[in-house]
Amino acid sequence: MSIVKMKFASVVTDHDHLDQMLTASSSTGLLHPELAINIINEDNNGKVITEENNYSDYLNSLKNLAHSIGLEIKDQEHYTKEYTKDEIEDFIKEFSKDIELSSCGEDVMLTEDDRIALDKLGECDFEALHSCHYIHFDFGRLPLDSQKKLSYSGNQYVETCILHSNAQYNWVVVATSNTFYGEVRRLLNSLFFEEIKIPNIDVNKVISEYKDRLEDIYAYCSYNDNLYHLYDYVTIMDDKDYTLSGFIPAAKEEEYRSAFKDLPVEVKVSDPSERPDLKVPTLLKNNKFFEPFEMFVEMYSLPDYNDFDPTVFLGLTYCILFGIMFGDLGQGLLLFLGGTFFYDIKKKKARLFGIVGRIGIFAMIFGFLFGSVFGNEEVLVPVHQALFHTEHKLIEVMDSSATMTLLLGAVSIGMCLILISMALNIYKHFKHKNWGELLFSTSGVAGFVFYSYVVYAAANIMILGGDPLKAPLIIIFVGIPFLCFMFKEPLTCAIEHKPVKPKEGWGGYILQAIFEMIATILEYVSNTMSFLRVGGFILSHAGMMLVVMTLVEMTGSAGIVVFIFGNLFVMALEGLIVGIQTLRLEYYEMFSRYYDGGGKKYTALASVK
Amino acid sequence: MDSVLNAMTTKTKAIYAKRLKDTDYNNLVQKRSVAEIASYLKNETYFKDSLEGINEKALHRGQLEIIIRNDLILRISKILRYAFGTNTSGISKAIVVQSEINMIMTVIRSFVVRDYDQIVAKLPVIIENQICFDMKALVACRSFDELLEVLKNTPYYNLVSKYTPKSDDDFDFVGIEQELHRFYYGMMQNYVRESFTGESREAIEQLFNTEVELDNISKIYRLKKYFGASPDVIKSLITPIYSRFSKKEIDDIIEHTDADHIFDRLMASSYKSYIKESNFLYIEHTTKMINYNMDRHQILFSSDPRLVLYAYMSLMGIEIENIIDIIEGVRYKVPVDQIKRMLIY
Repeated sequence: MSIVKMKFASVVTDHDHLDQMLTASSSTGLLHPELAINIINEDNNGKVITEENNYSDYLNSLKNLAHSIGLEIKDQEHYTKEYTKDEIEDFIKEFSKDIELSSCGEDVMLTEDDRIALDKLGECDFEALHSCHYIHFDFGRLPLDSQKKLSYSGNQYVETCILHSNAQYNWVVVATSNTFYGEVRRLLNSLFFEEIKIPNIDVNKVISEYKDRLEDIYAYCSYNDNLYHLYDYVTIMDDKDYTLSGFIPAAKEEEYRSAFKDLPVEVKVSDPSERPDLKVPTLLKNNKFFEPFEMFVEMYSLPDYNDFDPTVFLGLTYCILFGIMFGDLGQGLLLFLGGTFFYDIKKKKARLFGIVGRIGIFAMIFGFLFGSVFGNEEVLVPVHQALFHTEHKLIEVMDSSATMTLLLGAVSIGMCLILISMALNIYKHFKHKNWGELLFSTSGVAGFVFYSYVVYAAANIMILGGDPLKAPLIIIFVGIPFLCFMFKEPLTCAIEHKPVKPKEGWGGYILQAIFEMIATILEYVSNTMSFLRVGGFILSHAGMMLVVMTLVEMTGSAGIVVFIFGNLFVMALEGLIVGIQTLRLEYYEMFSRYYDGGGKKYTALASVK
Repeated sequence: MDSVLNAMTTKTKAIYAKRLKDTDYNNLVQKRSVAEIASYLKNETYFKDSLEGINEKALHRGQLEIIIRNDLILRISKILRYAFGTNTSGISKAIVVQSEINMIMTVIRSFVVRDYDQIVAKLPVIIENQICFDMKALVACRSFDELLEVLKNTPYYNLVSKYTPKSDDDFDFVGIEQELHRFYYGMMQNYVRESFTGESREAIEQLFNTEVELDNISKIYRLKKYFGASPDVIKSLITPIYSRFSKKEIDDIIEHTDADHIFDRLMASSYKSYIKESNFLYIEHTTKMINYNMDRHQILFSSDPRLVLYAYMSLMGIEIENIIDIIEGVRYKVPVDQIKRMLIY
């Protein structure tokens, strides 16, 4: 239930063992690498690898060739032998020559769309197109907006025929007379026409003898291409030490070290605090119940590595608030079963289903307390009478006398949650030794004291009928906190031994502080009132189900259908609204008080194949 | 009405949140070719949809630029869908007028360089229905008289006809461009006056006037540094709109400050707080940085949807220029740290 402790790991080797070191490191799936550009600074005088990646071009050429013989290259994990660059280039040349495919440049890769368009062009017979004496044909991709521009050009010496289209291009064959070819070609170039040379023979002839070699070389190039992409993370120190740096979970240090035991590398592991220039990535670790709620934390923003993980508090309060607003034993059971089933089927990747399963449990608990099962408010009455010794149900949601109690109860829950949020905020600033925010902010000690007093005063007046609004108490619990809010900046500066006088002068500062105070008071009120929605949704849920049950009674024998669809409709609509509203309470009323986020996600390097 | 305005503000801010971030720029500057840049934009950024289906290997950088510029126009039109009943006409009009002015200037330039294909290549077909003159006729223009014929019955006719050349190669480019820009600025000022009130009006006027003022300062710098222009010539070529500098101060810069000290004047003014670096790269870098910081403040703190959208348009304009700087830098093998210094984000 925390943020996983990280270590900064650097693996150093020489040029000859670089690729093996990268393969070994990526195969652990533990390293969150840092780009070399982030590692290099004036002190270490490091360099980035600037080798050109030819393998990417080879892959494109091989794919190009494969397309031309209608071959889908299978992703092989292993290659049978290593190839030199000369061998690969010779193979590409030999193969290209054999199938007589030429494109407008070796760098250009023929895509599936290119092939479809070429197939269509093939219906015209390539040889016939090449044998024309007075008309010149070009074939290629023309961006869609260029096609429109061409129509505006008014050039009468060019005709185009669209063979195929996608969201970006038309594949066109362009016909022009030899006399105006130069002019037309200039126009086409200015419109970013991407030529694909018209082949001399039918490119779909399968030359199966090349298949095995092609796939083997492709696997070899693919492996090397992936390695080259990792070069972005490698820093060259002192022109000889090739260093791969990044963060690993501290508990996995030995596992990470053991990946290099057969290699001549040096693994240096240090505390992340030794690299203050790098932002340490955040990896959350929570127990199985709260794990899916990490999704909501990530949606807002991951916590900073040095901060605390709010997942448990968020998960718990989300479940409780949702359960209260969506209290129905039967519907909760369906949510629990459906959510858990799909969460397991999707192998815990669809975390929203995990959340649905968990909030279903709380919907069941509160549904039981409200005595509601699929909208039926009577079925649990005997159980309540037996268990709680009540006359009817424990909580009569639809009874008008209970309305105020529900709403006040909702606001009370809100006040407690706001106080807990403030306490978390105080803890956070204490941890970071951020004294100004801790003591004087609206969510710090001053805010906590003020808000606690307001809660106490409200409870005292409403429940005990007392008179807590005495002058000394007001001075201590309202006056002093307000002065702290107003003079937060000068007081913070005083603690930090900085000049106390505000930049805008005292007059301007106090005027601004007065307006900010008004905003602060409004914020406290609106934050608290925001929790009224919790009570509102209890009533709204019960009201909607009352409508469904009334319709069931009115429809007679078709009642069962109305009952099923009514329940499904309310579950879908109400579930969505309550889910969103609860999230809103979490983000706006609670996170805004104690949580900053701003963390960087831990993303481990994928294994190179 | 309020919820409508909020919807537009929220939408704009949500789309802004998808902008290119520090990590994206770090990754982009390390790319080694236009194809790799296109591939990164296509696979890792919000340009995913607009670059869907492109062939990175064959993509021309000019086409990439067109795609990302069009993407901005599409994003803005998407945001404007949330502006039910709100007067946002000035914002769409601004895009159209800027495109029309660019087209007219391209045509006039083509009369001298005789490269008429450029007119076709630069047609803003994405907003073709909103252009106030016949684009087909414009493409066919081969002389100033033909251009005036096309511009008849448009607001541009009177502006451009004043500069009818006496001979075929005697075009007053700077004069025409200045005249057209003044028309654009006037139109925007009218829009602001008619559609905004109170604090929002003050804020958008400040943004807009600052943009013009900084543009004036860039002009003064370049005219002094590279053309040795006289104060009278410079005064005739700037737009008389002032923001943080008074007219007197601008006149003083024109008359008494040499080009190399203009940056110092900016650093000594209230613009100082918007300039993050004390090192001078080039004048537009500084002025863009000021605009960027002012726009960013508005997009973060303003709740007026049109103001937020205006700031968004400017910020995205700077983002596009960042991408173009990276493309150029990578193409001409400029060292990574130098490219990074040019970027504003």
